[in-house]
Amino acid sequence: MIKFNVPGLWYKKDITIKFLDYCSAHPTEVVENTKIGAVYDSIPYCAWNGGRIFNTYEQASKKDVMQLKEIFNEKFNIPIRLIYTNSLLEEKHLSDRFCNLCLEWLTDGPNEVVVASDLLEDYIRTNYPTYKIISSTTKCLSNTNDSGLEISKDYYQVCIDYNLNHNQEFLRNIKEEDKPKIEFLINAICPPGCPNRKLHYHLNGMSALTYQNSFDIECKIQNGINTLNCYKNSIQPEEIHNTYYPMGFTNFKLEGRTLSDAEVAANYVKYMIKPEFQLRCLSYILR
Amino acid sequence: MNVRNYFVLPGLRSLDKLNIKLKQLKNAHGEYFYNDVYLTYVQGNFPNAIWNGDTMFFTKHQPLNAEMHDVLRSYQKYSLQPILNFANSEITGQDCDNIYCNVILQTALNINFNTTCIVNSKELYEYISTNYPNIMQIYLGKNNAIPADNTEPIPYFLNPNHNGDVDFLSRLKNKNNITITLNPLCFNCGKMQECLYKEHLAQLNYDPNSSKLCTCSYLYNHEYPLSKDKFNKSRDLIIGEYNKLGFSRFALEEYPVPEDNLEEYLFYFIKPEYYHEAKEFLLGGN
Repeated sequence: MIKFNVPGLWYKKDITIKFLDYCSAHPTEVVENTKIGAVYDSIPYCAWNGGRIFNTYEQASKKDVMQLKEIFNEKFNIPIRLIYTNSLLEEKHLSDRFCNLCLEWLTDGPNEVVVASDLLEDYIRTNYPTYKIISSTTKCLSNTNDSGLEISKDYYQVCIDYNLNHNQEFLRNIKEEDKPKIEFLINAICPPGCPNRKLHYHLNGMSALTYQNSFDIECKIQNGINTLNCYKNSIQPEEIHNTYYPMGFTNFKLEGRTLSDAEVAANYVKYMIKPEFQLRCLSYILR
Repeated sequence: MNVRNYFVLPGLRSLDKLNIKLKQLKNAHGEYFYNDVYLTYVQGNFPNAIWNGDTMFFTKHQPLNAEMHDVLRSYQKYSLQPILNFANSEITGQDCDNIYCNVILQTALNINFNTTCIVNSKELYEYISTNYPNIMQIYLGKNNAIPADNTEPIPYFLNPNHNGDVDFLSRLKNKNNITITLNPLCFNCGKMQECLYKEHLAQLNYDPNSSKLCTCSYLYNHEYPLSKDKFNKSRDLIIGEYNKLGFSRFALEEYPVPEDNLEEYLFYFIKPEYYHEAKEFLLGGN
């Protein structure tokens, strides 16, 4: 089964639920052998959040979190994947009440956590052992040796650096038993080899810890303006079915927490709906 | 006799626009106000702060640093000193590291404006003393008891259950440092402590749906009387009686219905002959 991990837990929740409802109602329109593997995001306000910052912020309540559990875990039987990828966390941050409460409230589901900080990883493994741990792409391990080492560790999945997406030699050298734990980020907007990527994540982590939502950084894709090099590391649907899946790879991540609803919806239908039904599905979920 | 009565306004964040307008009105039309009125402090919190010791304050919208800065800066501009209510009685030592509450404190410090906190946890009191020595603190203690030797030159909030107890009030020392809440919502209610405990727990657990456990329908059905209807005496008489006992610091409690706070401000601050003009100004008509 090809699994797509999607940014539908919080900010893209509505569009994702509509998509899931559509797929439930029209199962023959879904590409064979594909499904949503997990819905991810951080539940706001999350000081452990990394990867992205947002224009405005919300604060979820206990009721909100339990509703997410009801919808995704119980109704759709989909794991919730919490994005806890702030790499700047210190010991004192581990006691953050809301982040711990989310872990507590979701502990009895098939739920997962993405981490970038060894400190937080150890904390979660010790205190919330039911969670599956995923190694974050924000670690920026673009060196094949570093990635290889990461894959050999005890992670449920490893989201490899998108710069390695088309490195055939690297992919061929991954052991068969490790292939099911590899996750590919298949629609990264960041250009290949972006020199600012790690700094960008660093500053995003700082934002979360200081309750700010902007830092100055040179980014070629600010304000949604693309350069020619954006999406160069993307993996197309036909490549997944013709190359990656036959090689044994089954997990693919769609980014989109800060994309528009239309872009997120377009990605959903592109990868998971048969071509002849894509327009119909798109118009339904964007209605 | 020229008496000066110092008032603590409620709703640091929830009523910030009204509070600033009130100060603007005082600056522009001081003649509208009773001569004894000095607006000096504003009490409350930012939403979603787990240290919050008042009734639960939860909003879907999460303020960021810039917003907190703007609110506190506005108060600084109009000389209303903030009193942050950090008196949640259920805070543990680990909660002292709470990132958001520390950002609030740091923002207040950065503005370099006299800020006071009310705390109800020994751990938090010590934490703030160590990490934010420039922030003044009022330590309530578990039973909100006034320390007999209280000499802090900052407002200390009297338990409103004592409001009508003339004997008790007469015996208090350092009356200059004691603030009387003129319009408490919950008054002589035997369940007040229990309700507050539940509010504090709800705040800690991000659980606004659990906090409305008060069975007093008059509060949550908004059936409470406003001050103009509650007391059988004029505003001058109400405050005058406290002045005679030596008290000159007063606070107003925030009422659940925003418009009711405007009415309370009019009653306690504005001469009746100027109610109309003041109301128009405060509602944004000026």
